[in-house]
Amino acid sequence: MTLLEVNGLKTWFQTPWGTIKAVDGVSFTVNKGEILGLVGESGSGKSITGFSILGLLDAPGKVVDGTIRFNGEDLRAASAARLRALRGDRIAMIFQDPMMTLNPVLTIGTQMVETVFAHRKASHAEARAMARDALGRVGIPRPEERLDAYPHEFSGGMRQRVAIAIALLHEPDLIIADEPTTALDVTIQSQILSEVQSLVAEMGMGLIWISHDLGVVAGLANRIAVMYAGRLVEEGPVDPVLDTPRHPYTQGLISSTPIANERGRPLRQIRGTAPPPLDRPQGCPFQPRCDYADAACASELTETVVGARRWRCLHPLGVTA
Amino acid sequence: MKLTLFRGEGMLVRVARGLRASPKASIALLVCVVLIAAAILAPLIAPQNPYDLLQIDIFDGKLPPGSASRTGSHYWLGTDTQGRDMYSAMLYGLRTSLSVGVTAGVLALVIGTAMGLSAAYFGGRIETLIMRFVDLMLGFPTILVALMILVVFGQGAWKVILALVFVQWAYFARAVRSAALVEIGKDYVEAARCLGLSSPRILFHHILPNCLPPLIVIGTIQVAHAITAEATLSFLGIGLPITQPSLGLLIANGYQVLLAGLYWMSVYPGLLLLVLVFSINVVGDRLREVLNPRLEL
Amino acid sequence: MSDILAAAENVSKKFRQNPDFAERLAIRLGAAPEPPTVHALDGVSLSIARGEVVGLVGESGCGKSTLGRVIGGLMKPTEGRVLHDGKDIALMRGAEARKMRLDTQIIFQDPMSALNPRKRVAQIIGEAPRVHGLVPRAEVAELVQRLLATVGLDPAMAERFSHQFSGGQRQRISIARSLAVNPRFLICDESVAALDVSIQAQVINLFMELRRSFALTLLFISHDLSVVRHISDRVVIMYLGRVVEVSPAGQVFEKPLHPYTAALLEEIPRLDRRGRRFTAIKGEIPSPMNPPPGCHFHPRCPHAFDRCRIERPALVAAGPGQEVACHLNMGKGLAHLPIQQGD
Repeated sequence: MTLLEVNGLKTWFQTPWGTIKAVDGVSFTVNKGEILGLVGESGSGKSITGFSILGLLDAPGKVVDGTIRFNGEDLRAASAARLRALRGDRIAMIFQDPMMTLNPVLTIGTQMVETVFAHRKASHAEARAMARDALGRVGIPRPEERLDAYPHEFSGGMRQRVAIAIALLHEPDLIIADEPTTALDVTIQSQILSEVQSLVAEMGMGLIWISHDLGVVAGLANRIAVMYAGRLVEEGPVDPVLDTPRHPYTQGLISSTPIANERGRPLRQIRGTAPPPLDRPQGCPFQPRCDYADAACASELTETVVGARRWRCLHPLGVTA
Repeated sequence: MKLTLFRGEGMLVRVARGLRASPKASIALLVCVVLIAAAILAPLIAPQNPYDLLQIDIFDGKLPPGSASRTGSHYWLGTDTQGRDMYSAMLYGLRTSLSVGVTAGVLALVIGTAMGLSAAYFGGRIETLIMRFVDLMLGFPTILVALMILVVFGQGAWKVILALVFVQWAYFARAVRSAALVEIGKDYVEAARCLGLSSPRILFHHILPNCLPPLIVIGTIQVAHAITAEATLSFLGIGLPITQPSLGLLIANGYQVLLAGLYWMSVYPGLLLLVLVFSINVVGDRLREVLNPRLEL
Repeated sequence: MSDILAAAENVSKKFRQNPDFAERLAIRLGAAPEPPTVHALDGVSLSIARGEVVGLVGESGCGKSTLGRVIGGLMKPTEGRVLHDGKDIALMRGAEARKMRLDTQIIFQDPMSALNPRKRVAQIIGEAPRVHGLVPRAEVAELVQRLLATVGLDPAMAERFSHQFSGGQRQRISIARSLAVNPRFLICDESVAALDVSIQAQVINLFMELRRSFALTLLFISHDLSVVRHISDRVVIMYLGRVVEVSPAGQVFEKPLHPYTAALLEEIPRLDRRGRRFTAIKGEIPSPMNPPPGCHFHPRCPHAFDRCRIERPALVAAGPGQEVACHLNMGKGLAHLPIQQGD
């Protein structure tokens, strides 16, 4: 069942130096119980996509076109009050830095109880019980005691768990997670991924996992969407996308990881750098770095849809025309 | 979402653009420039040299603004009790006030910067010593300390400057130290050490230039402070001697006859002082906005 | 001349916040607690052969960056010696000390803070060779051009400021700056961690190329075992201030000896591990202020037994070129357990 439907989303930033098309025509859907891995490098627009859905853009950022439907409701048309009511209740966000959600001068319990009251009528005891259960769910030992602790008394990994517990308080339908494990150590990242995995399976929510790390997404997600310079260049189920990538950029990302290369040999690399946001090429944004680009790539690109997969490339790999 | 844009522009371009973007700051800057020019050119543009006794006519004393002199010219801002042209006296007073304020500000900046940088770079006992002394300095009321110094050393322009530097360097030292501590924590300083560059070189070529933005802001505000402090001291009669009248001294002189209805002798210098200090502060505030990296788009 | 270019001998590094006069008084009177001591390095020995690439892996707080700075001579060890060309660097003076200083260069993690924002690229790269008189003044500009080309940047960019470059380009500028003083030994402290995936591969390739063309010795510090495995000849694994395993890079993935290494390998996100059940190693990384007794890893180790909780295991030979600090199998770690499942 479709939970979130984003169609032709464009988020632009008007600056004194020109218009930055941070997100430029992005479409995807997320179903209940599904994990979508949104992958891209810095500046690809993956985080801005997440913020656009939540209506959390700061000026001068503005959604200029497209639709965002959540459970059938048009979020672009929704009032600020309605969005506030949805955020934290039906849609929750987890950030790379958990201190974005945690207030350093209040105990975890106080903050969680307040979050409960923001969206529910409940007694203090009920709210506290909900908070305790949420902490227990994300694998925090002795949750009852930990409610009275302050954020600084937790390690980085534990703080991220608390942030996740707060996101889970109202059992939201959709969670948008923006690089939540990037700052964590490998073994701690694994613990959190394991918790997230079982929670999604158990509670049947939809999850958008924004990350630059293909490896994490490969292990966690059902589907992958790859973004480059504000565009969604390829999307589909994890296995086919990683095994037979259609877009040369996806292919480049995969083959430049050390694991995909013979030890000690030069890594296969994508040449050049991403185009500056104010100076992107016409047509396919990847063409200056692409081995397959020709004159036709400078024209506006249309999307090709085959089965569950789609890509935006005139010279898709492994497809004979 | 914060959007960071890297544009290839130096600090000067950014300052210029930032000042221009604010009409208030642009006007204030213009006023500052005009006043500074007037102070520098005072001997050329003043109708008379108010301290050349030959040019002063005691019979022209206490004339209200707009009166004609006995030689036919006009005293547009009136004359003082001794018959000096107020307009000329104010230009010379501005010259004195500005030179004392700027000299004191610059000296305090140099001394404070040296102290702050040393504290941040060497740390340990040197830092403790300097910073505790800074705390002590900041604990005393400015005017009280300046008063005590002047009472001990007596009047004179350089003594006023000494007093002002003494009470102001601590502000610079504190600001430079905290800015420098941030810079020292950055990798480029460690890289410079790694490349075997000497401590003075790292301090003055690498760390100091990166501490300039807060220094410029504080420097501007402290010059305004120095000008008001000097005016206060002179008003109280212990600042500059009567032979080097500053705006503060002019106000004090006029004040004695203010109640007699001769308002122009202290009100006009007072207004000029107000405009000067206000404009410098407006420019300083805008510089703070432009140079504060946290407020950058 | 020996084969060993740089070595740490039984090095320890303790960090303690230095109390000022008032705090010392308070501690003396019993009104304040003793400031905690962080044991960043705890008896670490490591030698790096000429021309070798050693990978140093560990999680945050394991002391890998501290070890890099101690070997690089930027930090003095609390105990132990650091040798450069067989000589104790603490005893070096004058020309000898300067030669060691320039011989060893560090490439830092954050490409944003590693370059002085108020200087042009030409000044950043050219300053040290000019100040030290390594090239005649007139040839500095030419050297800068040559170095920029070496690291894959357009020499025409020499007059730009660092903020006009992307992260990857800035990292190349940092590398050029280090190469300008003709180092023999590069310490790369998480030098690719902050870069985007596609740029990371480019910079790793650059390091491998430079190693060949300049006959460099590299200490490659990273939290990413897969990157380290790719570039290194030998891999050193650290946990909470101690070396737990040293292995030839080819063997690390196939035959991890220390349970911690095995756990790390298990947790690396990999493209070929799809839709997997993440089964995490239990527990948190203990604080280096208060490490557990015995083997630091025992509270998280699935194989821990009584001895591990009391006695620190020594780092001993366990196979060809392999060393491990583990009590299992008479000090040979996982060497001949029934096959440890990799995946």
